[in-house]
Amino acid sequence: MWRRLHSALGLFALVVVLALAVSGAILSVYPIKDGIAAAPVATGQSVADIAGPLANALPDIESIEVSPSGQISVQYSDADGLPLSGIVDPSSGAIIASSPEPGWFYAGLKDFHRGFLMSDNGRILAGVGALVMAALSLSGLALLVARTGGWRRIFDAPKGSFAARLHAILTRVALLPLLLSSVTAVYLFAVQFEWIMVEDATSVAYPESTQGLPAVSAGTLAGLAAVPLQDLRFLQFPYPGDSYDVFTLRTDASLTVVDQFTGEVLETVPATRSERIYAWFYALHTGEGLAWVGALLGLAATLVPGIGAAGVAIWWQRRRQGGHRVQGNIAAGKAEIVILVGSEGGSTWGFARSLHRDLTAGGKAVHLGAMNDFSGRYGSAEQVIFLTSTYGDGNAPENAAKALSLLAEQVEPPKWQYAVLGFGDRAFPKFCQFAKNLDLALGTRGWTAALPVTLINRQSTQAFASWGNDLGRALGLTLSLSHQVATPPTQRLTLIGRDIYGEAMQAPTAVLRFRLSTPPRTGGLRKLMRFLGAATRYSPTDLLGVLPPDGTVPRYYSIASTASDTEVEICVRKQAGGLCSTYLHDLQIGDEIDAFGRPNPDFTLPFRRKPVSMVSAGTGIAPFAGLIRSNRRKQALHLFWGGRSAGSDFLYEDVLQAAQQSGQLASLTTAFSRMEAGAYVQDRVRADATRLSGLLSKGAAVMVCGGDAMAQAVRAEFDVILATLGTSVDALKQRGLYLEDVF
Amino acid sequence: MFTLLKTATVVAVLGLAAPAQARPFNISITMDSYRGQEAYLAAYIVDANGQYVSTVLTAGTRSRYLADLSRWNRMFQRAGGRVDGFSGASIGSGQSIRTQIDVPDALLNAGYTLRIETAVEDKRYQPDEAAILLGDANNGQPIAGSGYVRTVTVSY
Repeated sequence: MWRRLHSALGLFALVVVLALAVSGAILSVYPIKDGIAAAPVATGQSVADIAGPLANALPDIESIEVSPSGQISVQYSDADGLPLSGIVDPSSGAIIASSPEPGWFYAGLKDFHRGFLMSDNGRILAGVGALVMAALSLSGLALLVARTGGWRRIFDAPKGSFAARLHAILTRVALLPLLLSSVTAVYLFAVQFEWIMVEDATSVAYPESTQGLPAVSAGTLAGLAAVPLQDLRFLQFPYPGDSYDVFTLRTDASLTVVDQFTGEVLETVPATRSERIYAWFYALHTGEGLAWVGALLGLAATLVPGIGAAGVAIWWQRRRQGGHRVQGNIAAGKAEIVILVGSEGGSTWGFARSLHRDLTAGGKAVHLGAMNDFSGRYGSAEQVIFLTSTYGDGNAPENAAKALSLLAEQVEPPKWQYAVLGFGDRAFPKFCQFAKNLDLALGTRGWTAALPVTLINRQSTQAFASWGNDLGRALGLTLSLSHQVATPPTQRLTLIGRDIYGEAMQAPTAVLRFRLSTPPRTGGLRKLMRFLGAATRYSPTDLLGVLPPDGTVPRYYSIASTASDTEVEICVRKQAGGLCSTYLHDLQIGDEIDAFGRPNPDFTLPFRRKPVSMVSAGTGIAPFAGLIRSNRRKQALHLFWGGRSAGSDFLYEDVLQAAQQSGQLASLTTAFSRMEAGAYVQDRVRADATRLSGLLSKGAAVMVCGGDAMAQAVRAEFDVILATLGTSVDALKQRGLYLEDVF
Repeated sequence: MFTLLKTATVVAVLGLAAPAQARPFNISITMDSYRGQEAYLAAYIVDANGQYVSTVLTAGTRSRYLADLSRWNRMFQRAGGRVDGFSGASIGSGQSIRTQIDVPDALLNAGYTLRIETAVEDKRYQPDEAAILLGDANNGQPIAGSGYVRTVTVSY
């Protein structure tokens, strides 16, 4: 619900909100400028101290005004009756400059910000824009809390694509100021249209000055001498020659009427409540008189274009994955197999549609629906299959939120069997937690499992196909599930380098270097995009998706080369019976493959210059090789790597030694399992606990890349080290300082 | 750019004893081309001693800002008037406003003056925008304003 509202509002009002934010950010500079320009008022000065000299110098004085930023100006007419105004030096009460009207740029920008240079219609549009901004802030906050799994965790390191992380980071900084800006704007809008009435304090009787007395200087009047100058907002002088007229003096607290001859206070009216509230909202929104608030709001507003652009990118990514239409869907009551989907982003729907298609092709009557639509009225069902992701801290995704309570209404254990397939990412602490909970809940309700719960890491199509084989066996039909995760357009790459390691250990590993077969065009736009970093196809820690000869399911390999538009290097361990790895190992120089680059946003160097401990085994060295080669800033990178034998499969030995010489690699620690006194990389971590503890206490990050078993062993070692520092791997993960890429 | 003719509300009936003879007055005000928001304007009659007689016309859509016409507002309030809930036609740069009121003959050629004040947000308030002596000499003559008003014409 929140997500749909948030996207709809954001897209609908994108341009309006952007225009308001950008113009507001620029406007916020003015109160700061005015505050710096205003001369300070000495304590102990009274209104009479400047009213006296000014009235003596200017016979046709009308009023003295003090702006919220503290600048004092005087309005008067010259000898020819020409209305003028000037800026007053508070210490001397002299005019130091003529007071200019606001420049065309400021006036135009303010007009644009309030109503897009149109009259009331423009103001309504701006008011709606403010309302949308407030709604976006609130729905965004609700989404953030739901996504991260609770209020306490909203400051955890964000995950997801670059756009998602950018959106999350900028939002956390800007959310509260933006909420303040937009709520105050909505209030000002309501006042403007008189939906909220603001009444200024006014004199009820409007008393008159005592008649028949000689004129006196304003500087001697007790009523003006009693008010400190720093409290003054506005002082209206009696109209010249009108002996009935009075001084009208406004402060934040009250309106005072003073006799122009006796100086007696004739009436005091306290400021109205609505007037005070208005003054606060006005100051909070404009920053006039509260320049530091204005600066904060202005800075937050400058982030809005970034937030908006990232938000649109997220919406677009979702849209490309989404689309829930299913061809040949059988009604739930008539289906032999019911597939129910719990999905937040939409990628799980893609898998579900593939399952639906292949089961239908196998001759089954299949229904596909959302988990929230679970009804229990599946008269013909033999199997109910749940495909679900997990949201936030182990919660149900959006369209499965009601599923557990709906299932609880099902009293009798059903006659059908069930299977649960969970989708998730091992980098998250509660990997596939909702799928596990669901399986447990169904088991305790007496449902019969056709298959044990199966968890799929990072949309692995191989794991999905393998689960399909198991499902086929359970259903008594040959099911070869193929799901193609939507792949971006591929490029043709030519093999230009090939080194084979580890053959002596019966574990051949190939380091393969490719170059784009057709050199990219080098037009002006392309050059510009490359300069902005938008056109770099291959970057270290990103993945290279390779389509095997059958062209179906791409396999992903970490990129081991530096950022490049044309060249890319990967490490491939030959898997027994592995289709793609065998294909790549058999390639000869000059052969071509189809591939594409894919970002791996949850496994990149943290945005900081602190040291990083990198732990890997085997081909897990690939992303680190890329990072070390790119480490021109000489960030302290410490590599732990495990292989089998120094003489046979020491990947990147030359590269690493050269990097140590040049300072791009701070330290290298290796472990070889098949050598004398053999050891694994986790043994080296344990042995180096003191050094690692020192690095970690200085705020070092940890990156781990390799097989699941190795990653688990390493995690256990780090937990021991971190426990001595009073923290844990989980705590570091929450802060985005313990990153894993596990395969 | 274009001219809007608007009929304004007469905001107060002349506070005089039942006039023996009165005639309709046409008051027409045309604004200059100025850069800024819509204007706030008050037109009122004062006697030969500058004492307030009656308000003839106010313009400007938000009543709260009428009080910024401070010279008029003080006289208006002293005479028991309040701006709360007042609103007039909107009048901006280059636009025109026109109204008709009944004026007793006794006010003609007797030193009574139609005075106009204007104010525009963020710009200088004009307490002496225009003053037209009510009498045959000015009948039908366009009188120039000194601030945001181009001309004021009174005809009867």
